[in-house]
Amino acid sequence: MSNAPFVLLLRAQLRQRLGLSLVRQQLRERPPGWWKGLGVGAVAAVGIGGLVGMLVWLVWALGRTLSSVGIARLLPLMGLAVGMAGTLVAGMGFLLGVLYLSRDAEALAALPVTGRTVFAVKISQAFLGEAVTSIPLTWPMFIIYGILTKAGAFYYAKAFIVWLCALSLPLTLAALVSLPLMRWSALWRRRDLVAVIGGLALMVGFVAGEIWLTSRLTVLIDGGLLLRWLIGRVDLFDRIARAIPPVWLGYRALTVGGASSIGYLAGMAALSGALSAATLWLAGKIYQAGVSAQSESHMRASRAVLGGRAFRRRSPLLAVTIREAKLTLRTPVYAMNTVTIIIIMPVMLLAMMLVGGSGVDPELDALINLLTRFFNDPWMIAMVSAALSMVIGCLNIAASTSVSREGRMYAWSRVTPVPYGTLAMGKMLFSLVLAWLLALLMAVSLGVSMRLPVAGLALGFALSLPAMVPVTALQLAVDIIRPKLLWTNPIEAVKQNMNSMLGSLAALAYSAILIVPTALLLVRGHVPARAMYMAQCPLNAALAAAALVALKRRAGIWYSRAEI
Amino acid sequence: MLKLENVSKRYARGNVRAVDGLTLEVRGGEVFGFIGPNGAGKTTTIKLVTGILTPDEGTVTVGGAPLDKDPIAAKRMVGYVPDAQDAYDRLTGLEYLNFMCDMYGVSSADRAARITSLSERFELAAALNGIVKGYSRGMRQKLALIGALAHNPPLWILDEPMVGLDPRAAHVIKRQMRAHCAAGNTVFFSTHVLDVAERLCDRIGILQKGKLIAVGTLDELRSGETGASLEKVFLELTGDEAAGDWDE
Repeated sequence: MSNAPFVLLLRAQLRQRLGLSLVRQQLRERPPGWWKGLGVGAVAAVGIGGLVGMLVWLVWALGRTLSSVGIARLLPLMGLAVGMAGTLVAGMGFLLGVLYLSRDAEALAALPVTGRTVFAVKISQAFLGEAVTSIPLTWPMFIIYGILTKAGAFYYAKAFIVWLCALSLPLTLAALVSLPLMRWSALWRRRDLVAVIGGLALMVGFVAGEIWLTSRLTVLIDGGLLLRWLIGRVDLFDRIARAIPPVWLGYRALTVGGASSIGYLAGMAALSGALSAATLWLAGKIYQAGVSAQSESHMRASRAVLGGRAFRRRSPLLAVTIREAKLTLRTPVYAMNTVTIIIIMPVMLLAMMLVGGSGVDPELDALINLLTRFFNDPWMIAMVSAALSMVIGCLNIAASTSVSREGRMYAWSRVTPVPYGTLAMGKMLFSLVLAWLLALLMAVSLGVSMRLPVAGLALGFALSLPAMVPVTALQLAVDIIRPKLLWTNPIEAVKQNMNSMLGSLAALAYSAILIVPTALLLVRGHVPARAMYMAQCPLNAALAAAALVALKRRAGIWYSRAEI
Repeated sequence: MLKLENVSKRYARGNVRAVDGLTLEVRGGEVFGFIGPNGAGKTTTIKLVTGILTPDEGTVTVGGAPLDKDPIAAKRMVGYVPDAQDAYDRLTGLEYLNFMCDMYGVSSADRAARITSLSERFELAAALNGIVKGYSRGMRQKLALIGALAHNPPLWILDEPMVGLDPRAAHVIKRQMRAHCAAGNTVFFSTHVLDVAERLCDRIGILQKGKLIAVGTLDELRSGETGASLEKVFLELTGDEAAGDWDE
């Protein structure tokens, strides 16, 4: 094993991040309850395995259909586009966390290694983290294309290199953009605000740009129509791919045969290498300054005004809610990982309409009209929009990382003379406000992008209010039961926290139990949508009340079990 | 004011008995110092007393309220200053203090008077509108001290309170501890600074490997060795064979 500073530092950071030493010690000593971690891991693996299995089945079905009309090559193109877009969006928050907001930033700055080495170690961690996420997004399409075209080992070797480049390119691009952003933000007193707004703006910009480039790939529901639409536009995909050079190079490296594919592969690798070199060069110049500036003191010189409203008294419940809001919104990593989902989804819907949806393509317009006609009943719209909000709400990690985000400050929850149930309700209220905001933004964006009637969307939002309560409570419960409190980097509390996944899985399972029978009754049972809506309202209200009561009661037991 | 009866705590992951059958009573109106080598169980004891950890065995009683049966009443009587200067670092100092006051149900008028007075005494008033992230280590410690005193607790618990403080602030806190006791309250603190314990404490407890090996006034601990320093007593009690070599 090399003793180069990069290798030593990366090994130490990975051991710390993944808790490898702790796992080894637990396996060696087997203290009481050591097997619980394995059980939780198994549950998560089964949940994720189910989702990946479903995705593979869908890709297989799509691949066979595309192959039957001779356009199977769209599969690797989709894999590349989805994988790179996912890495870009998810990697932005990750990078800000590992590069600038780690608690070990000062300790690392004092080590006799260059800022460039520290940067390379940090970005390598982001690379490894995003690689895990990218596998299910990219490899099913690569492998199924390989199977359908009976490709040999050479194809899979090329696919591996393309995948590495497809991971590296968006991450280095995000790093390249974040370097000047964080250096620039350090010049401002409210640097966290600048970082949050700048990061969100970049993310929204990336997503909007991606949608613009792939606007012709918006969601369609009719299989036959989709196929006719795809066949008629194969050249268009080539043009879109050509507009994004890395996607084009990777796409061509995988889909053309012989020596020319080597040229495209070499081009992609060279582009990736050049961007990495440029990023490392820039990092050597400004990374350390950006990091150290984050911990610089910016105190107000003026004396605090202590009087009047400065000492307003609040109830413990409200105090906890307000503290949650301030800490989340003022910490860039938390803001980007919890507020993002609220903003990104509506932005995507709006972007579809503004840059490539209605009005641009007559056939797309026809499809939107088809959808609108299908959902011409406002009660039906209400239930579909509420279900959509619920499902997207399941992906928000604000509640499922709420306790973990406290880290060492969790000790205060044990010290303060406030019942644990009240503390849980304070966190619940904040997470719920975010969930309701998401439902509201979804309703607005659906109305604007798909021109759905306001009455139906308003009814849907009303139904979302109670429907979001159990979803949020489930996510919060997961984090109260087993919070991840020991971390050096806030990104570990959110993105690298298994609770975010377990919370989403639990909430999705609950949502499926509620939504699937309802959908079956509506579509197959021909139950009138209005009657179903009227039944859903009291049912969801009762479930919401039950969830709140259960959470408040059980929080006392769960809180008292967790220790730091 | 504070009573520990046969309290034990074992850390599940490490299989280590951090506190072992600890029995101790701290009376009202006294400053009680808790000393011991690194890893002796001082911080664990303080965490057990404040409710951060739950004992495996034994009971903790604060002001007559058992911590396991009536935790809210017990916690309401405690003001706690941790050793790590942890604070919500994205809040301003004033937001943090207001949050602490909200948790302890301090009225607007009382908090205005106490925060103003304490922040001026600790020379932190000018920084209260700044984000805690920008505070120095000493400023964070001062903020934690003010937060722990803002509800005027009958029992003040401090874990290594002098760490990170400048001489003036350390002087202020020592005076504050004595003043708190003079007002009929109790101070329970851990420290490695034996001079501070010697000068400040009414009674001292020495902890080693989770057990209380000695407790009493400084004279009682000296047990007849006239003029022996606390350092010498400490080194002898904790079994440091080299103690004599370092003796002047």
